[in-house]
This record gives sequence, C-alpha cells and structure tokens, in this order.
Amino acid sequence: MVNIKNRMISEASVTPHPDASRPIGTLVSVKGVHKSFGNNVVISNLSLEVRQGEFLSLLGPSGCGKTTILRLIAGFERPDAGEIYISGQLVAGDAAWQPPEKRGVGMVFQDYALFPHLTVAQNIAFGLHRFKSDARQRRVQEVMDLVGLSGLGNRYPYELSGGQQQRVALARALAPGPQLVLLDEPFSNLDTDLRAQIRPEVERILREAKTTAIFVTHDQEEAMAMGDRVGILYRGCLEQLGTPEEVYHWPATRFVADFVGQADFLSGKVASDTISTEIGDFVNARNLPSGSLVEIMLRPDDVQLFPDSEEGPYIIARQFRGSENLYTVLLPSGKQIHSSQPSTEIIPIGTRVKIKVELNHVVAFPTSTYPPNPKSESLNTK
Amino acid sequence: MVISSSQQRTGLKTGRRTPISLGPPVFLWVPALFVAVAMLLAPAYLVIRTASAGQDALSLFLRERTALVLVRTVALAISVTAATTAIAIPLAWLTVRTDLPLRRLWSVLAILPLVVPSYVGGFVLVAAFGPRGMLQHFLSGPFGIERLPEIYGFPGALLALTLFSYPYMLLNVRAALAGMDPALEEAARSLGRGPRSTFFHVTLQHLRPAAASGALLVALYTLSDFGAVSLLQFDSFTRQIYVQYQGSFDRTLAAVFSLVLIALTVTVLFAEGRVRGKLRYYRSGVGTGRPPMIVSLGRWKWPALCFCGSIVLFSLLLPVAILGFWLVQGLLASIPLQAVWAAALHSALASGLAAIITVTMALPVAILAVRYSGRLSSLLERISYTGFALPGIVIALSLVFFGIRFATPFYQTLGMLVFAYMVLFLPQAVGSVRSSVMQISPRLEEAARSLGHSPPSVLARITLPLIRNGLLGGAALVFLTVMKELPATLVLSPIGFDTLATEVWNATTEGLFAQAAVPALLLIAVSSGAIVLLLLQEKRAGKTAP
Repeated sequence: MVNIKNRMISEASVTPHPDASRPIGTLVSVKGVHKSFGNNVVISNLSLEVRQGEFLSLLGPSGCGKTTILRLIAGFERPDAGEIYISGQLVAGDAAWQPPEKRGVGMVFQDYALFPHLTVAQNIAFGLHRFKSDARQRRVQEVMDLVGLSGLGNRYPYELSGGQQQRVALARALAPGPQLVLLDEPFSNLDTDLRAQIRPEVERILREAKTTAIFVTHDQEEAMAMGDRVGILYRGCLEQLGTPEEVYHWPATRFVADFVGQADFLSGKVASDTISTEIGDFVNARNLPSGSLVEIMLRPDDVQLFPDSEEGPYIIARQFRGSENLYTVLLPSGKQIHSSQPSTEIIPIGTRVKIKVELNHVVAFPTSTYPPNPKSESLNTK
Repeated sequence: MVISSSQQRTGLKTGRRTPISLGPPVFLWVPALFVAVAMLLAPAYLVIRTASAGQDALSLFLRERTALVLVRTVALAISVTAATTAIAIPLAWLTVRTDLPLRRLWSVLAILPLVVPSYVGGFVLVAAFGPRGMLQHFLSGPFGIERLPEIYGFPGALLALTLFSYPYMLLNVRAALAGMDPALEEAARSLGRGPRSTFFHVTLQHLRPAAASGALLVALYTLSDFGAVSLLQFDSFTRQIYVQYQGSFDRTLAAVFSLVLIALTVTVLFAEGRVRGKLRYYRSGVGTGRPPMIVSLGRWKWPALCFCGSIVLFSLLLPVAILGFWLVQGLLASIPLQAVWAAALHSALASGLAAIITVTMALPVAILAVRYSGRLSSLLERISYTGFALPGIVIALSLVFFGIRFATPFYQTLGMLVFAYMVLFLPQAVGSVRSSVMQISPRLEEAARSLGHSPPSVLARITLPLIRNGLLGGAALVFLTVMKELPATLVLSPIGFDTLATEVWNATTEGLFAQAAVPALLLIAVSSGAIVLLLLQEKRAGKTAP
C-alpha cells in the first residue's frame, strides 16, 4: 500500500526545528500553547508530544479545549502564544505559520463534512488533485476497499447511512496518505450499536495504514479502549498524559481521579508514615506532609463488604449492573462510599457491614477547596 | 443494521463555531475594497463639489425655497406613513384575528399592490383623474364637465404613494400579529381586561416595533421616490433635483438638495436599524403553538368588508381598469408597438449586464462578511449598503458630476448606467449571496483545506458550486429590480436608449396614456416576478437563521 510520508514539503516560509535532539519518533510537539476567544481562555500553557504511530486520545468534559487543540494542530486556528512542531518543522509560532493545506494533516470532522455536490469517489479523490489520473483512480479504489465501501463510488452522501458516511470521511482523510489524522468526536453521531461495530473497524483501518492518530472524545470508555495513551484535559489544561492503566490506577490529580472511572474520596489525616481514616489506616505512599488533611481515592472494586451484626456502616442502596451490584454504604460519619460485588449474591438494604479495603497502591491528594464535581458535565456513556 | 438519524443529513450543521480565524485572504479583501471605493466615489464627489462651491452652497441651503421643499418632503413622508399605518394595521388585524369572510382572499389581494411600481401608480392616477384622463373622458360626454379637481400636487402624491406602498407595512404588521403568543392576550383577559382594552394595551403595544420598522421603510421609500412625485408634479426633493438638473446651468442647487435629502434618508435608515434590533427581542419567544384568539365581528362585518373592499378597489381594481381601458384605446387607435419592443430589449440588456456585474461584485463582500467576520469585513459590508441610503436620483446626479469632470468618455454611456445600477442594487445582491453562503457549513471549507487545497481552490471547487442556486436567485432579483428603475435611467441613459420605465414616464408626462399602457403592463408582470422571488428568498433565509 502506498504510504506517502512527509507530504509536507519544506517551504521557504517554514523554519526547521533548531533543536535537532528531539526525542526520536515524536511526530507532533506542542509547546506552551495559549488560546483564547475574546475573554474566554480556552487553552492555557499546554504542552504535549505525540509519538509516531501512536493513537492518542484526548479526553475531557465539554468546554475543556480538546477540539481547539485539534484545530490548532490542523491549522484552522492560530495560537496566541507557544509553538507547534510537526515532524520537527515549526508550523505555528511567532516566527512562522504554515497554512492547513500545506501541513499534510488529515481531519475527520464530527459531522463528517462530506461535500454534498460530489460523489463518494469524488469526495475521496478530492485530496489527490496532484496525482495523475490513473494513479488517482487506483488510490481511490485502494482506500475504498480498505474502509469497506467498494461499489459505492457513484453514490452521493445523502444516499448513505451514518456509518457509511463516516467511512467516506475516514477514507477521504486517508487517501492522500497523511502522516497524522485528527478525529473530532468521530463516533458521537452514531447510536450505540453502530458505534460498537464501527470503532474496532476504524482502529483496524488506521493501524493498517500506519497512521498516527489523535482522537478527541468525551466518552471515557472510548478514550481508554482506543488510545495507546490518554490525555485528560480540564479547563484548557492537560491534567495527565499516560497509558490508560496509568491514568486509571495512578491518577495525577484529583480531577483525573474523579473523572476517570468511579471514585470516592475519604478524608484522612497524615501521621508520618500512615494516613488514618475512619475505616482504617493506609500507607502514606506519596509522602504527604505530616499533620495535613488529605483525601484517599477508593474505587468500588477496592471496597470489600462483610455482613456484620455490630453497630457501624450499613447499606442504603443497591444498583444492579449486570455482572455486578453497586452498593452504597453509609458510614457513621455520614459519608457515603460505594462497593462493587458480584451480582450472584444480593446483600439486602439495611444490612450492617464491616468494610475492608485493600489497596495495592494508595492514591491520596491534599484536601483543597476543589470545584464541584465536574463529572456532572461529562457523559459517562452515551 | 440500525439506520441512524444522520442518514437524513449529509453532515451539514450551519456552524455555531467561529470560522477559520486566520485573517481574510488577499484575493477576497482586495476586490471588496475596490467595491467599497466604487460605492463611495459618487457621494464623496457630491460632497466635494458642494463644499467647493462654499459660500454659494451655504446661501442656497439657507434660502426660503430650500426650507419649503424640505417642509413639503417631510410632510409627504409623514402623511404617507400615517396613511399607510391607518390602512395596514386594521387590515392586518381584520385578516389575521377576526372572522372576516373570505379572509384569505383579502390577505392575498391586499398584498398585491406591491407589484405596481410607483410611477405606474402615478400614471394610473393621472390617466384616471387627470385633465385628459378616463374619468374626464366619461364625464365630459353626458355631464359636460370640463374640469375636474386637481389630482396633481400633494393629494395625488399622497394617494399614489399610500395606495401602492401600504403592503410593505402590512407584511411587517401581519407577521408580528401572526407570530404573537396568544397567551399574552389570554393573560390580559384573565386579569380582567375586556377585548377592547386588551387590544389597545396588549396587542397594539406588541405591534409597535413591527409597525415602527414598517413605518420607517415606508418613509424611506417615500423620500427616495421619484416616479410618482414627478408625474404628479409634487415639488419634493427628488422632483426638484431633477428639475434643477434639467433646467439650470448651475447645478449647485441640485447638489445642495441632494445633500439634504441624503441627511434625511440616513436618519431614517439609522432609526430603522435601531428599531430592527428591538424587533428581535419581541420575536424571541417561541410561544405555545396554539392558534390565536379569533374575534367575532358580528354586525361590524359589513363596515369591515366595505373597508377592505374599498382599499382593494383603489389599489388593485382601479389600476387594472385604467390600464385595461387605455390598452383598449391604444389598440383601437392602432398605436405602433415597435417602440415598446425596442424599449423592452434595451431594458433586458441593461438589466442583464447589471445583474451579472452586481452579483460578481457582491461575492467578495458577502463571503468576507460571513466567513471572515471582523472589523474590516463589517466596515466593507456597511459601505456596500450605502445604496440603500442614496435615492436613485442622487446617485444619478453625483455620477453626472463625476462623469463630466473625470470620466468624460464614460458619460452617458451604457457603462455608466450599469455602474449606477450596481451602486443602487449592490445591497440587495449582497443580502442574497450572504444568505446563500450562510447555508454552507464552514466545516466543508476546512475539510477541503485539510486535503491540500488553497483558499482560491476551495472557493472555486466547494463554495461556488454550492451557492450557485443562490447566486442565480440573486442575479434574477437584481435583473427584475433594475428593469423597474426610473430616475437613474432617465438621467444617465445614452441618447435614444429608452427602457420600459422611461417609456411609461415619457408617455405619461406628454399625456399619451395609450402609449404608456403596454409598457406599464409589462413592468407589472416583471415586478410580480421580483416580489415572488424576494418572498421566497426571505422564507429560505428565515429557515436557516443562525
């Protein structure tokens, strides 16, 4: 399969990266980028690096700036400050600017943006205007086969289903063989069944094309499932960038801990090596200062319940979730925590329980005047 | 496989997100700037010319004569506005809110007078009630009446302008009435107000912005009108400007009159802009979707029917009858029609050229305004709207000055006439193109750029093909509007280049009513096409309003 690398020709107006010792395999480098629209600061001092061939998911609640980052990389917006490098060449910054048509970055829009007056084949061929006619036709056919649209070349976009339109959008972006493909909430317009079908397809197609991809989504499950690495964004700042496991098990900030997966936060006090809470003592793994007030992150699957006849915590609610039951337990202090148990057994509401928490690693954060739960802004599942 | 709702769309969302914030490309703002300069050329020169006359200009301005003309013009504008309001509001209420018999028929008939250009309205009145008109014709035989009360002057002008421009107000008020949430009146009734009190304190108040907007439009129309006031020999500014232009050697007085007139129209436009902004607040409520309360007329049905009937009689049946009468007279006297045919061809030629050039010039301004909004593009757009503020006779006069001084080879050529048309009708074209461009999602253009196409390539391959129908509609609208244009054509057209409009005007001023009938009928047909197009466009624009 033809894979045209470095489609971006170095123009006289583009300055090569003066620092040649960038980490090997970095495709996109964003450094200290700021962007505001009017008085609204959308991106604040953001830096990240995208490695060649990786899938990076950018996850965050609405309004966190993730689509703006995509548009900055693609060249549809200019950063107010900071620099962006693609393949080592400066594409946005004070000194230089490379317009979108020269960057060799493909984009799949949330609403596909297929050209309504062109057929499927013409849409896909749109980025191949520099090819010779027969090479163009061959490439269009190749890409249509890749995405599974063979035979639909003469249809118009309005004649296609949502899933088919999405494939055309993907094919169109891939046809010129870009080094980087950006996808803006690519699956949010599809209903759940379709999404479950299409997602692995898209992943397969992109991997086969050996393209680097950046996804933007507010769907956690999607971000964790498809990304080699996940970047969590909140209010224009990158809270954490790491593998899905790192982000889930070792969240760097309280927002990440709260946003990714389910978590309860139990207040505790630090006494040199241990943190004491109302349900027991934990190791002070992060070496938080003695005497300070902290919050420990508990995931429902960390919390074990044992029915007990003594005074103490008892179950106030149960939610059936298929393979598990999610119990809400009321602690004597008034705090509620959750516990996830296999659904083969039901513990009745009102049962008094003993709580046992075993954490392989303790995640604790200093107690701060944290803004209200941002989870209410995001949609966990769609 | 479950078909998702996106099957109905082709992925187009008129973008809420800001378009590419990368600054307007050169190939757009340079032509737009050129257009802006072209628009300002004539009025700027008018100001310079007047200013250079210095003391003379000032003394002319301060003369009693100027004051008289000013008073007359303002008086006419106010009277016409009052008269149209007095007609439009009751008509609107009767056709929308009562159980008047044949409501829908009256609605349609009441709007139809829009298709009569003002000078054809003037022709109709003169041909009906003038010294050699139809009424005289009928009365002189059996009754021996030789002289009728004068139709010329203020009464005639008032009648002509009111009868054929009240539909502008009617459309505005009717839309406001129909869009009003019935819950407002129901709330008033539940608070103890009777029907009459509700009407005056709730309904009428709600109509105020729409009525104000309509009134200002009518005032603007009256101030700018040339055809009706000149045929009915009423000395308002437009007629005086023309008379001075034709008659005197020194045209400074005409220039002074023009400047005062511009001051009036700009004031009205400014006020209209303020009122239109307020209109949006009133229309923002989505309402309950219930049909409005219908008032039962009872025995008031008959007076109401008389009222509607008389309006339709004077504004519709009368012109039809007059035109018919004089058409028949013309056929009986076998008046040659070659002149009309030649005039029609000339009209078509000038209008065709104007349509093509105006829409082409409107493209950069409109695209800039929609895709690259910012200070520069909104300034350019505002300048292009000077055509609204400048009456046709004023543009014509300033181009005469400019042409004689700087562009002698162009003076009195078709080129200069088409240029005048462009200045007059660019706002219309910009409005058309603008609403077409707004229907295209900016994502399409961004997608094209991400696939390696430069902005000019995107314009040619994506934007233009998608707005093609809108462009054609805009061109058709300009074509039809130019065909009806009178003052600029009278002043600037080359010798011997008569259009349908000038034919009507010339024939009427000479009392040759039979000769005016055929071109008048043709113009009404053309005008109908324009009105239909305009209403269609407005409907389309209303559907996709951001």
